[in-house]
Amino acid sequence: MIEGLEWIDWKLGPYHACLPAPMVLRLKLNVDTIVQCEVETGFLYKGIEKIMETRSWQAAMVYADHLDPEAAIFGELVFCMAVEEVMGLCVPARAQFVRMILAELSRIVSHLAFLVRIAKTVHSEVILHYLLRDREKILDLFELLTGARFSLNFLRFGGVCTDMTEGFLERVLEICDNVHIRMREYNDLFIFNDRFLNRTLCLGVLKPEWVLGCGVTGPNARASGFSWDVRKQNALMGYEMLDFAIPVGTGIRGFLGDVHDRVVVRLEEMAQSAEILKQLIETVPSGEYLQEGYAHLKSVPAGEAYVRIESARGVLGCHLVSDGSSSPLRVHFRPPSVGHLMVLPALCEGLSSEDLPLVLASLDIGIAEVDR
Amino acid sequence: MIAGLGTGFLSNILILFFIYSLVLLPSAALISYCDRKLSARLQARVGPHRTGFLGMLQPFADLLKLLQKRSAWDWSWEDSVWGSFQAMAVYASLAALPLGSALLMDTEMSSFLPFFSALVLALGSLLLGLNQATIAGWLGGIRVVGQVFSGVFPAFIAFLCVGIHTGGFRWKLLASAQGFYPWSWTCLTSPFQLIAFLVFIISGLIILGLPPLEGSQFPSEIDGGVVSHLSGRRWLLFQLSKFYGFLSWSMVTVVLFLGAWSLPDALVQVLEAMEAKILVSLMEFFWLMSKTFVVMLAVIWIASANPRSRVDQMTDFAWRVLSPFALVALMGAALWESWVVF
Amino acid sequence: MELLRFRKRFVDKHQLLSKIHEILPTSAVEIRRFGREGPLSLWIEVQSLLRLCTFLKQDSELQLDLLEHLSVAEFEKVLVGTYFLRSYQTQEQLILRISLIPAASEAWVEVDSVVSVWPMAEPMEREMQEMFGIRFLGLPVGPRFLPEYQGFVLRKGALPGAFT
Repeated sequence: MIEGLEWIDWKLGPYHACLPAPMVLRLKLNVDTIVQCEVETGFLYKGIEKIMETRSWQAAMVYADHLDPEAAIFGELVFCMAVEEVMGLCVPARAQFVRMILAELSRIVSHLAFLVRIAKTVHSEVILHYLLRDREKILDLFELLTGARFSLNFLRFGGVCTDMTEGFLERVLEICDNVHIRMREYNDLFIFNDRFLNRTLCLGVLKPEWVLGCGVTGPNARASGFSWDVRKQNALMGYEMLDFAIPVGTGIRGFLGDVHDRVVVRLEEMAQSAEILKQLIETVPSGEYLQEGYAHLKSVPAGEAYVRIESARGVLGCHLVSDGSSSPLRVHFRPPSVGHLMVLPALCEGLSSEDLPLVLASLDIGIAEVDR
Repeated sequence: MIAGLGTGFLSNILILFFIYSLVLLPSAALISYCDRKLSARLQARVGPHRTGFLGMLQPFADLLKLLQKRSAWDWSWEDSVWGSFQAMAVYASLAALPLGSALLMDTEMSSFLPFFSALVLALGSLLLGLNQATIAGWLGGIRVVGQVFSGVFPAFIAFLCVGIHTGGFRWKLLASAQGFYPWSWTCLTSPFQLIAFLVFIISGLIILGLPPLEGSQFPSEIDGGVVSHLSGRRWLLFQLSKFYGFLSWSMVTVVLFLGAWSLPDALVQVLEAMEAKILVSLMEFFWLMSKTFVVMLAVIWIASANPRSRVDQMTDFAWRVLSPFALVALMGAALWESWVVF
Repeated sequence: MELLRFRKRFVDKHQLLSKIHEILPTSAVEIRRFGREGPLSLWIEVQSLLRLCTFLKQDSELQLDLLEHLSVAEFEKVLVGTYFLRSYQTQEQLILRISLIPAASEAWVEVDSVVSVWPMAEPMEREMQEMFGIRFLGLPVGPRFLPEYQGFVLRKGALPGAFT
């Protein structure tokens, strides 16, 4: 620490190799250590909410896809469920089933992408390509079912767009079996590699009071010891009939809530998603995949709804207001990453500048949903 | 310089010229191709496969592309300072390599030269980082110096262990103390020499900035941006200087620890009886080069599977782990020699 | 299969109203259900927002210490602010609603900021400040979301012409 010298002002962004997404970080450094950090976002602002107000109901659903480009189903799901709540629409069991399968597969995809970003930060190129290869298999499944890899545009009000393709369920089972085998490989090669442990243990500890104060949810909060999961709290979509655990960070190797905990919690969530998928596939409901008559909605009765689901990053909410016309009056999403960004300046204090990319990647910030 | 070949000054020059232009300089191409193919296969990818048979012309395609890529800004005086240091480092790495029993420059202290080239390389990287006039470059440049100092100390101590075994630092002495077979190599004569060998290789990685101990020299790291603003010919200069430093370090490792260029005695006697001195030199050279390439590929292989350490973790490792091991190896080697020899 | 709704233990309406009357005897409060089957929503006056929020957070029975979402919508020239509150311990939910009427379509509206009660409100309020032109008094100054845009994006009629 050098006395008498001014702090270095460093503006990182909007595009920088160490940032996971377009955003500006204004850092004040004391030679090497970050003293202060300010975050500025808005670079990915697309005006989704405003555009949705000018489109018809079904067309507005497409924009919800772009809340989270990697796991698009969650945006669609939360919007769809909000509209169904306003209308009091019942979704048939088979459609629920398909939605749950897509949600859990998207969770695995999102966590794999998270691991890819972590691997890129520590320059662990071998595991990066293995993770991408495994992610490709699931994206191929999405293409088989919906026709698209990322922006699925598959849900409709009252169900899903089409029935499941033949062979889809068998392939999902293969993926589930694959997940366990691959996780052993990731653990040996990467997660419990000495060098990786050295870099991630006791780093970027997310304290419980920050979690409570900033509204952090999802795997980041679970890694700090809070076992919150909307799938268990609210019974929506059918999760109450499944048996799965909520992985919580333990901090046995480092501190509770450090970067390693956040990585391990997401790995365990992937395993739990595989368990959920296996249980789902055991009992495939038959019946309609779409409630008839609601496919092309001319209007939705006036009303409001607020729905929350557990997306891969945390609690994703949607506040929907309808005034009976052919377009939504107001759609406002509650993204989980807003809380994660808010906690970043506190996390960065005292951090070495070389550790900043790793801490940033470990928070799994989705700028697309923060900026909308 | 080329004592012992006795075939005339011009042919000596020609032989050296051919060796440098056909083997040493293109070794960059060969190793970069092997590196890319090896990393690709480890990462479940294919690697270069379109340029030429199995992608073998890829390095030349890259070379052509890089040579014609112009930089956005002109070559300023700061770039000249940095560029001249890198050029000096390349020269120092390649000029005095021990290429065989007859193709070398031999003085009492000749094997200290690689240290010089590595240090010049580090100075060049420092200047490159400071040149950049950005915070990332400044931090990166300073880190390079810290990193190199932490690596040089254990490397030097390990190097002294070899001198204890061979009795001097002349290339000829180092080579004649070792034989063709692995049990006569320096690294296997005693456990302390083995420790010295491992310390030498690992600290070489630290000094030269090779993965997984790159630390701050990785281009797109937040504060290691010494290289991030380079492209085209300047990037080529930086990468080649680093590569030739790696080549010379590996070659010196082989000469010090892994048997140098020694061929089986019986073979050498037969060939000398046939007055085929050039053949002997060439065989020694190729044996040395193949061992060097094996060492380089082993380093690259291990590097690609491991995540990188943080800079201060790496310097900690160098000061707190490598240096004590090197000192223990030095004392142990001295005791071993005095006990075994007398 | 019906969508199952897990009924929360909602706060008793009358208890809540009486508590609020103790704290804010002169302000008008209206209780309605939110949406079709949602939790209770309280329509309150703008001036009593900060005091009520402080009370809701600190009350030992309610302990509504999570501001999950802060949403603003424009109904026919009235800006309705909705605060979705939740309790970490008891999982209670409550929704606060205020209505703000801007004097003109490009005029600012003022309301107290609840950042002193729930620090997590800061990014949400900042976004609503810029999108709807609501000045939150007490919100620390921060970078703008869209520095180049003049006007309030999400108000109706903000963009000239309509998308067809």
